[in-house]
Amino acid sequence: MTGGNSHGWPLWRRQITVLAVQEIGRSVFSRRALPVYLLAAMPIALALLRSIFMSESERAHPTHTTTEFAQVFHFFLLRFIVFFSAAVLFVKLFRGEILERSLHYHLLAPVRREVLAVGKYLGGVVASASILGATVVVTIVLFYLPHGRAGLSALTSASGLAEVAAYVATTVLACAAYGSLFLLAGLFFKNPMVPAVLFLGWEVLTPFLPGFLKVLSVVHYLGSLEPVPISQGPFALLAQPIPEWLAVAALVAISGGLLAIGAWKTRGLEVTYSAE
Amino acid sequence: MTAGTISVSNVSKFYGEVLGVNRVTVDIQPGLTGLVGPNGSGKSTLMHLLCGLLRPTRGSISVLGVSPDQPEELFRTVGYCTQYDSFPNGSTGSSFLNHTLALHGLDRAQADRRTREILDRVGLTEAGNRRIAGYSKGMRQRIKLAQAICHDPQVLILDEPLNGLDPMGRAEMIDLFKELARGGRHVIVSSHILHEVDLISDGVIMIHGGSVVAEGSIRAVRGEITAQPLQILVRCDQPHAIAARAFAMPHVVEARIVDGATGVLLRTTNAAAFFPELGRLILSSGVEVETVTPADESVHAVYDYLIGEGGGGR
Amino acid sequence: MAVYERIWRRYDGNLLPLKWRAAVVTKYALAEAFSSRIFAAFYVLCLLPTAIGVFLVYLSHNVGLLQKVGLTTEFMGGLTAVFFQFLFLWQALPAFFVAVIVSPSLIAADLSNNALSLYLSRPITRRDYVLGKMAVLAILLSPITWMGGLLIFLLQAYLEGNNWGIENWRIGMAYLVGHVAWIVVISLLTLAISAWVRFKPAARGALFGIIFILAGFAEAINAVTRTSAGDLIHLTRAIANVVLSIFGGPTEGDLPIAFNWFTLIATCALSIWMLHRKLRAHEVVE
Repeated sequence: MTGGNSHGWPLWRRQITVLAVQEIGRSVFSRRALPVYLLAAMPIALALLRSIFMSESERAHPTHTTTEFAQVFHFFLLRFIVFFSAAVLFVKLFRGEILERSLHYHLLAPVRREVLAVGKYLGGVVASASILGATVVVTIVLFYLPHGRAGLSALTSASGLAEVAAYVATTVLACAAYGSLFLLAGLFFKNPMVPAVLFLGWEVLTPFLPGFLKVLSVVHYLGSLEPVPISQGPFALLAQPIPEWLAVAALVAISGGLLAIGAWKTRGLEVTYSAE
Repeated sequence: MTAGTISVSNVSKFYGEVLGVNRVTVDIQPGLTGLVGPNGSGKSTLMHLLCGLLRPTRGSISVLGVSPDQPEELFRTVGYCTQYDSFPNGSTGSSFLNHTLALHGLDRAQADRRTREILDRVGLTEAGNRRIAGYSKGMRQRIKLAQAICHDPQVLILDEPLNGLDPMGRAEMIDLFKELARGGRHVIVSSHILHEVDLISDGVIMIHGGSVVAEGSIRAVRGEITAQPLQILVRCDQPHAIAARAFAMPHVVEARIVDGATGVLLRTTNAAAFFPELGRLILSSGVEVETVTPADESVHAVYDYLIGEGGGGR
Repeated sequence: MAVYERIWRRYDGNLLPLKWRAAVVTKYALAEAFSSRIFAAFYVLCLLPTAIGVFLVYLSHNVGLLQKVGLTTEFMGGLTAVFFQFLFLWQALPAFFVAVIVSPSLIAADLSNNALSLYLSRPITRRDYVLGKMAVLAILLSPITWMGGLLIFLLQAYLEGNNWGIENWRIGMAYLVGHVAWIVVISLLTLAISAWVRFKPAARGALFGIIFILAGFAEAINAVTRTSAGDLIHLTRAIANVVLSIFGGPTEGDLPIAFNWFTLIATCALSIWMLHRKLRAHEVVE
C-alpha cells in the first residue's frame, strides 16, 4: 500500500497526532463530554450566582474578589471540578474503550503500544486543558465583571493578567498530572473509581499531613503555583513553600513518570472483554 | 520458523485456571485455511494470539517472521476481522476506515481515496457516511472486513466473517476471500458453517478443547483417520453388481445401494488397495460408471469423525 | 428399551400471581448481589454499627459489667439524642455504600446486555420492573438502617423503662422516617444513574461524583453568596436536617426544613423522570 511506508519518528509523530486528534474529538465534541461540560458549568454558575447575590457595597469595590476566587479555585475548581473532569476523561481513554469493546481496533493498527498511550494521553490533556482552562478564564472574568470598571481594570492590569495566566497554567498542569494518574488507574483497575475516591481523600487530607507525606500528593505542588496563597484552616500543618520551578518540574515529572508506567502497562495489554 | 509462513510453536494460553489453547503447534502456509471447531474450542483464542491481542502463557508465534509483540511491524502485513460486534462510539463507516488508514501512515488524501475504494469493494459506498450504530448486522460485518483488508495485508485473519451476511453477501465475500488467497496471501477463516469452509479452504485446522486435532488438506486429514473406513460413492447403472463383487474384497466392510439404485456406497478400510481393485472390477464387470467420488472427504465428515458424534476415530 | 416421543408442551404448573411478578426481578437481583463473597462480607460489616449500638445500650444498663471494667452508667455521658444521631450517621453511611455497590448492576447491566426488552416482553410492566429493582435495595438497606435503628430504640426503651420510649418517641420516629426517606432517595437516585450510565464503574463514579460534587458545589454557593441557597442542592445536608428536625435538635443552615424536604422530593421526582425516559422496551439508534 502506498503512503504507509514511513517509519520511526515521522510515523510515530503522525500516529500520535491522529490518536490525539481523535481523542480530542471524542472528549470535546461527543456525548461522552457531557459530564465534563456539566462540571465545567458549575464554577461559571457559581460566579453568576455570586454576582446576583452581591450587595451594592461589595459591587463597588473588588477588594475581596482576588481572595474569594483563590478560595473557589483551590477548594472547588481544583479539588472537585478538575479532579473529577480528569477522572471522567482519562479513565475513559483505555477502560472506557475496554467497556465499549472497541479498544482492539487500536491494538490491531500498526502502532506501538507506547505511541498509543502517549497519543491518547496528549489528546486527553489538550481536551481537558481546553475545556477547563476556558472555564477558569470565564469564571475569573465573571468574578470581576460585576465590579464594573474597577473590576475590569483590576483584571486587565499586569498583575491581574499574570494571575489569570497562573491559574490557567495551574489548571493545565493539574489536567496533566491528574490525567496521567487516572490513565494509570484505568489501565490497572477494573473499577478505577475506588482508587480515584481514595486518592481524592488523600488530596483532601494533604494540608493536614506532615511535610514528607505532602510531597506524595499532586495538590501540594499545584498549591505552590497558585498566585494567591490561601489559608488551609486552623488544623493544617504548614510546610516550607516550594519554588514555582520545582513545583512545575515535580508535576511534569509526576505526569511523565505515571505516563511511562502506563505506556509500559499497555505493552502487555490483552483483549479479554468477557472478563470485564 | 520461516519468513513465509505463520508458525505457532508449542503455544498454550491459560485464562487463570481456564485453558484457552493447549500446546498448539501448527505451520500455516499461504492460501485459504479454515479454522474449525465447536464453540469454546479455542479458535478465537488462537486468532487473538496470532494478532497479539492475547499473549501466550507458553510457546512462541511468528507471523511471516514477525512476533505478535511487535504491532508496528505485524499489522503492516496482518489484517484481523474480529468476532466483536462493537465499534468506536459515533463512528461512521468512512471515519472508521479513515482513522485506521491514518494510523497506517497515509496522509489525508490517500486515506480518503483508499477509504472510497474499500467501501466500494465491500459494497458499502452508499452507507459510508452513515453511523455504524445504525448498520444492519451484515453491514457491520462488511465494515469490519473492510477495516481488516484496507491496508492490503499479506495475512488476513477472519473470525466468523460470514456471520450475519445474506446468501448473496456470503457468496460475494467467499469470492473475495478466494481472490485474496489466490494472490499468495495467507487467509485464515474460522467458521461454524462447515459446508462453507469446505467450499473455500485449501486446508483446515481442526481445534477441539484447546488442542489442534488435525491440520492439513482435507484429503490428507481424512487419509489419516484409519479407524473410520473411507466411503466411496460409485454412480453407475448396475449398483447391485458392483456391490456383490466389492464384497469379495477383504477390506470392504460395507456396501449400500443408495438413491433409488442409482449408485452404491462402499466403505473400505484400505483406500490404497481399494482404488486399483475397483478399477479392475469396473473394467471386468462391464458396468457403465458415471462417477466415483469419495463420500466423506469433506470437512463435515472429518469434523464429525474427529470432533462430532463420530469422535474417537482419532 | 423405550422410545419416548419428544414434543413441546406448554408449562401447566402453578404460576406466580401477576401482582407478585415483580418479586421475580427482586429474587434474581438479590441472588446476583450475594453471588459476590466480597459484597456479602461487606454487607455483614455494614451491620456492625447496629451491633455496636445494641451492645452499648445493653452495656449502659448492665451495672455489674460496667463496674467490672471500671465504668459507670454515664460512661458515654448517658445515651442522649446525640448518641442516637451519631448512630444514625453510621447506619446511613454504609447504606449509601451498599446502594452504590449494588445499584449499578441492577439496571445498567440489563441495558448494556439488551435484556430490558426481554424483561418487558414478559408480563412485567416498567413500573413492576423498577419496583422489583427498588425492592432489592429496600430489602438490603432496611436491616442496616431503620430495622437496626428501631431495634436499638426498642431495646433502650425496654431496658430504661419509666416511659422512656414514649417520652423519646422522636428518636424512634427519626430512625423510621429518616432512614426510610434516605432509602427511597438513594434507591431512586442510584437506579436512575444506573439507567443512564450503562457501564458499572462509570455509574459508581457518577454516584460518588453527584454526592461529593453537589455537596462541594452547595458549600461553594453558600460561601460566595453568603446565604444557605446552596443547601437546596445539598442532598446529604437535606437528609441530615430532616432527621435532626425530627430528633428535635438544631439544623444546619438558615433554610426552613420544608426546603430540605423539597430537595429530597425533587431528587426523587427527577430520578423517576430519568427512569421513565430511559426504561423502554426498545432503543432508538440515532
